[in-house]
Amino acid sequence: MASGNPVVQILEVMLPGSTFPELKTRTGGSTPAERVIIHSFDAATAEYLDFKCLLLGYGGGGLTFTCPWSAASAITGGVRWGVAIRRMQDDIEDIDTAQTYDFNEVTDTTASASGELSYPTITFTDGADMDSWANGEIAIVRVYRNVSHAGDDMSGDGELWDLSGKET
Amino acid sequence: MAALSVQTRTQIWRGLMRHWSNTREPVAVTKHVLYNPATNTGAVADTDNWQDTHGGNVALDTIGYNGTLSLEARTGLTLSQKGLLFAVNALARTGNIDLLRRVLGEVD
Repeated sequence: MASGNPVVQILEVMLPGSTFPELKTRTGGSTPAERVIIHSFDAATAEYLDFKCLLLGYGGGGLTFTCPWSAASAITGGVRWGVAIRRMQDDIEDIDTAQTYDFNEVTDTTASASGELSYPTITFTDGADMDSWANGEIAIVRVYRNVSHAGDDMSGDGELWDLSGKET
Repeated sequence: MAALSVQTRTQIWRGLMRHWSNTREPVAVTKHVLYNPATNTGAVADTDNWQDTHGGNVALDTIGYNGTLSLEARTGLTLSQKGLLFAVNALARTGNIDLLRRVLGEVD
């Protein structure tokens, strides 16, 4: 059921063992200045960021993730964002084994100023598309920037501010 | 000397993007207008080709650098950005990548 509720609870943000985005702060223009913590995804090398998430209050619909981001410096071009889910099923899924993450992706055009946010959404249908993630379970939600995709032509870093997921 | 390798050109490309990202300098060209390692084209390649062709001349040479850049790079990069691109490529052509690293930070 498409409740529209924010059913994805982020428990923790985790850096993978390699090729993770640099953790930075973006300084705002106020006094005192905001210091926004962002994850800075490189333009030439694919980098990954993991979120340990709990699915709660989920009614069996699809999921839509929103990935607010800003450009570090660019004012033109696009970034190809991808999200994938690894369901940690009870007494089934072993984190010690390798998972081939199946990314759903979207190309998003950078905002007109590098300090402005854009809010692309990435959708999953219920079932295999979201690794059959079920209510009450933990999953690893992995975000990456697909730098080799033709749509990813923005110069410089893409700064991920957050991730949120709702049932749709 | 010969033109720089794709590997070194890629280091320049990545270093410039990282530098401009860190300094929050608005960049109005896409990453492949700046350089595309897959096709070895873009402003980094054009700059290196220009320096390779004209840098060693001893005869009078009045061919301008700006003319080697694509329209997108010529009009999209600022004077300062073109200057830095030109300078770091020249540093890379010395064969001492540490010179480049001191200007741009990590170049990998």
